Amino acid sequence: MGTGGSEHTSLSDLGLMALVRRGDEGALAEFYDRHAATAYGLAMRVLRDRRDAEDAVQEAFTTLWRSAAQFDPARSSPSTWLLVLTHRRAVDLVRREARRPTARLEPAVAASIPDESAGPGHSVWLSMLREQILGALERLPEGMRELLELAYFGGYTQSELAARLDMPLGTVKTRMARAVALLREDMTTNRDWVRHE
Amino acid sequence: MSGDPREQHLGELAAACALNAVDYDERPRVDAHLAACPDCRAEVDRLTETVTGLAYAPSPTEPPAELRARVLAGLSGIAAPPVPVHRERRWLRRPRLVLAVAAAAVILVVGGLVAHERGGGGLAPAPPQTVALGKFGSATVGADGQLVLNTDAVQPPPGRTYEAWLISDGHAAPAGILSPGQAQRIPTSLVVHPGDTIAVTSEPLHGAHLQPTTAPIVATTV
Repeated sequence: MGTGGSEHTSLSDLGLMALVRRGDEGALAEFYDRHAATAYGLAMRVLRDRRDAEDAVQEAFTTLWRSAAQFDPARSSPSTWLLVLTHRRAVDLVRREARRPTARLEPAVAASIPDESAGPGHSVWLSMLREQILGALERLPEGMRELLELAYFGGYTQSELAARLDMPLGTVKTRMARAVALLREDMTTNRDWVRHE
Repeated sequence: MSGDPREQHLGELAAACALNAVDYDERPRVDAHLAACPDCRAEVDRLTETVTGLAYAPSPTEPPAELRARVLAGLSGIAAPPVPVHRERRWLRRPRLVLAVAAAAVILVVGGLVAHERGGGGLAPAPPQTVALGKFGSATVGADGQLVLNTDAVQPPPGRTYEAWLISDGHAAPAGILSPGQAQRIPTSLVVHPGDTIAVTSEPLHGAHLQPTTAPIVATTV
């Protein structure tokens, strides 16, 4: 118990979740090994503080463990669920402390992922996802990309965005909906990793 | 916004929900509507899946090793809530699948494919037992009951993957995904009890489930 053993490496994320639901700590450890770097990268991007990012990731995994019985595979993949929990916690923290990073993302060059513990195939997969999302962001009209990044990584609400961008609230709402729709269309067209429906 | 919140679909606000960017004063109405409207919930789920792709945009950053230890150490004090039985048993309640499991198990046992019978009884520890899994290879149940799969090189059809399961008291626990075209030894954390069934099903390549979604191709009862 307590570490992801080789007995878990052959399981899919959903297989791991099925075991997590039964209280298998080794399955959670394997799930951590697969997704902690992404969750931590996201938390660091939102919070820009190691300690806070660690807290956000820890709380996300703890919530996932505690709420595993409520996980519904029809609604999201396990990794999406973890990243939603991480994002929610990170945004709560950033809003509380009013730290709002505004820098753009780095250029669309996939960084190598340092940890190969989940297998080289896993890091190739992650690099591919990263290239795809960065490509999709690049293809968005400039204003829409900024809107999405400020909302998702900056934690701004729609009213806050309207004030910051000096834009009517109605325009922010319409552009945000359009930006997400375009992102979805792009990712669905250019690859097949968006979850099938 | 006026009128019954249940009648006001979210429209453009679904994207804000997915981004967690809804204004504070709009949240009560949004939450009330989502609780009552499966269509809007499904739309928010779809957009959340898309928006969460953004999480892969920052460089993945390996967290400090002590965070892993902290996360895992914290679990012991938190009991994972009991799994609702009806959800685990869903596929087993489907008569066609249950019959398929039973039929496949009978065929294997009658066909003499069980390589070794479990010796002895009572309290004496049973010796390791090997159970045939048809074209997929075999499974070994150790003296301590631990399940190990020894798979042969089998190629699934395009877009599918083969997944092994341990079925115990009507619950199916995932035992492992078989790498296509590769013989492997897959140790599992699962413990087999007499009367349990080991099964292999075909599952979608990128969408395996918490429980089997198709009738087993092979199933054998220990």
